[in-house]
Amino acid sequence: MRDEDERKVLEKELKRWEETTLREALASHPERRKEFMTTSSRPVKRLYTPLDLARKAGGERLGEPGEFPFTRGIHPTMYRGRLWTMRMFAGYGSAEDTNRRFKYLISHGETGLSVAFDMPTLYGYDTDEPEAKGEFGTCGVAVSSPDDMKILFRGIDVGGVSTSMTINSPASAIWAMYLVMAEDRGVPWTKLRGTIQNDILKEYQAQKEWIYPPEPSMRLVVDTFEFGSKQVPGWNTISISGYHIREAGATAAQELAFTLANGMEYVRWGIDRGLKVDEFAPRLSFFFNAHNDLFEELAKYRAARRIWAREMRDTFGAKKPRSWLLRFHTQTAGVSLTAQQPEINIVRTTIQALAAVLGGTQSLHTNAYDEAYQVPNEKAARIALRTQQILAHESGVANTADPFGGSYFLEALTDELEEDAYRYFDRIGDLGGVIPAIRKGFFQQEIANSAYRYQREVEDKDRTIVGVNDFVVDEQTEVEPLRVTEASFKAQVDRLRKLRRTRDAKKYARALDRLRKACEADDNTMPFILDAVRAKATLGEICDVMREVFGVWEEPLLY
Amino acid sequence: MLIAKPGLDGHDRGAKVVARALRDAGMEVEAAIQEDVDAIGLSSLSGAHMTLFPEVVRLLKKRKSGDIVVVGGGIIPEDDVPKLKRAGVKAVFGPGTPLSVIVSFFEKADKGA
Repeated sequence: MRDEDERKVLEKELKRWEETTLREALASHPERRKEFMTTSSRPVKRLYTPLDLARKAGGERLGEPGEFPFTRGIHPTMYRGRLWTMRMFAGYGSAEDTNRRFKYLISHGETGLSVAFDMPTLYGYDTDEPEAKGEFGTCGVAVSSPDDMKILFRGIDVGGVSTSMTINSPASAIWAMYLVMAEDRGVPWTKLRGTIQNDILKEYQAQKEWIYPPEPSMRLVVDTFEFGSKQVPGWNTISISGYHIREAGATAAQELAFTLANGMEYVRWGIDRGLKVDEFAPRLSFFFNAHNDLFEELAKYRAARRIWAREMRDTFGAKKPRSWLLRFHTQTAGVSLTAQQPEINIVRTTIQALAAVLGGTQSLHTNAYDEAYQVPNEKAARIALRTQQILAHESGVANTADPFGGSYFLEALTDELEEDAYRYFDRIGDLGGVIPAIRKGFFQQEIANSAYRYQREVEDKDRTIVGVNDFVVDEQTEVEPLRVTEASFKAQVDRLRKLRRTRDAKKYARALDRLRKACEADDNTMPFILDAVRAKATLGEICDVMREVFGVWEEPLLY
Repeated sequence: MLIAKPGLDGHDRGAKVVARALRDAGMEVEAAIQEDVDAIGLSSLSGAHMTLFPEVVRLLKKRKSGDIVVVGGGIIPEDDVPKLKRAGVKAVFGPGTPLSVIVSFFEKADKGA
C-alpha cells in the first residue's frame, strides 16, 4: 500500500518535471538525436528514476557483496581484499618466443599467465602438417608436442602462477601436456591453478574453431570435469565464453543469454554423466567481453551473476554457495579496435577495462592498441598492462564494491538484460536445446544479423566510430611490426621431427592404441591422453586418433 | 562472387558481413566453391595472408583462371599490402573499410568481366 502511494508521488513528480523544466529546455535546446541507443542498439531513455526499478526489487535482486544472488560481486570485500588478476593473453611464434614474452610481462607486473595458441594448434594439427601451411605462430604460439610445452614454461613457477589456456577442441590434449610438464618438474597437480577454455559450444556458435561433432566433443569436456574434480582440484576445467560470441557480432544481451545457456548445457551434461553438481560446478568459470558501452557492459556482468546463482541453486539444486558463484575473466573488445589512428585504441581499452572492473571481474586482459594489425608488439602490450595498473592503483575504482550499484539506470539495465536472457532461454528451449539450435543455425543467424545491423549503423552514420566514419585524418599509420621468424619455424619443425625419431616407438604405438580403444568405448579419455603425452605423442597424432573415431564437424552455412 | 576463408582461421564475421552487403547490392554471392565466379574475396584474420592469398592467385593462374579478380581483407599490416598487390591480389580491404567501397569495387569487377 505504502509502495503504491510512493509510486504515485514519484509519477506525479516526474510528470511535473516533464511538463515544466524539461519541456522548456527541449523547446530552446532540442536533443542531439531523435533516439539514443547503446552499442547493442538498445534504446536508452532520457532519464531513469526509481520508477524504472523492477517491482520485485529487494534482497533477491541485489543482496550484499559475497551473498546470494551476488549481483554486487562474489567477494564481500571485492578488490579491497585482492585485486583482479592481470592476465595478458600472449603468444606468437615458437615456445621460446612466447616464453620470452611471458617473462617480459611478468617482469612488468602481470599476475597471471594466458596462452594464445596458433591456428594449427587450435585445430589439433602439428606445425609440419600441410594443413598448417602459413599459419605457424602468426596469431599465437605453436605447441605441437610435450617438448614445446616444456619450453613454453621454462623458468616460470607453475606451482605459483595461475595459467589460462585458450584451447577448445584439443583442450584435453593440451591440458595433458601441461599436467605432464608439471609432473616432470615435480610440481604436484594439487598445487596447479589455471583454466582451460574448453568451451566447444561457443565454437559452433561463433568462434568456428572446432574439430569433432558436438556429442563426442561434449563427452571430452565432461571427461575433463570428472578428471579435474578428482585429480586437479584447483583447475577450472572450462571457461564458458561469451567473448567470442560478442566478437562475432552479438549484442550484449545475446552474449549474456547464449553464454549462460551454454553454461547450463554443460551442467546438464555433467549431471547426466552421473556427477554431483556440487562436485564440478565450483570449477566452472566464465569469460566475457568488455565493449565500449560502459553501463550496458556493467549491467551484463551483474545480470550474469544473478541469473547463474539463481539457476544453480534453484534449477540444478546446487547446495554449496561456491557452486552458485559466477567467476569470470574479461577481455576488452578486440572488435572495437580501429586500424585508423590506432593510438586512440588505448582510450577505448581504458573505458572497456573500467567496465570490467566496475563489473567485478576476477581477471582481465587489456588489448594492445596495435591489434587491428597484428599480435601486439612488446611496447603496445606493456601499455595495455599499464592501463590495468592505473585503474587498480590510481583511479580509486577498486576501493569499494559495486560502486554503481543502486544507480537507477544501471539497475534498470541489469533487469532488462536479465529479462532478455530469459526470453532467449525460452527460444532455445523451444528449438530443443543448445545443440539442436546449433544444428539449425539459430545462434549463428542471430549473431550474423546483429553483426550486419551494427555495420549498417556505422555505414549510415547512425553510429559514430571515431577515426573511422568521423574525425578522420589522412595519415600513414605507424605501427612497429612484429614478425614471426623463419628461424623460429625451422627450430620448431626440427624439434618435432627429432621427437618423432627418438621416442620409444613401441610405447608410443601402445599408448595411441589404448587411447583409440578408450575413445571407441566410453571410458574417461583423460588418463589415456596423459599416457599418450608421456609416450611423446604429438598434438596432431592424438587429435588424428580422435578425428578417426569421432569424425569431423561441418557447419550449416549461412550469412 | 565468391567469399572465402582460406586456411584454418575461423573468424568469419567480416566475411559474412561483406557477403551480405554484396547480396543486398544485387550480386550473386557464394560462400562455397563453385565453378564460375568473376571475383574472389579472401578473408584472413590469423596472419597467414602472406602465404595463403598469393597461393590462391598462383593456383588460379595454374588452372587458367587468372582472369578471376582476387581481393583480400582482414588483419593485414600495411607493410604487407604492396607485397600482396605485387603477388596479384588486386585490392586489400583493411579494418574499417566502408562496405560501400567494397561493393563498388565488386560492381566494377563484375562489369569488367
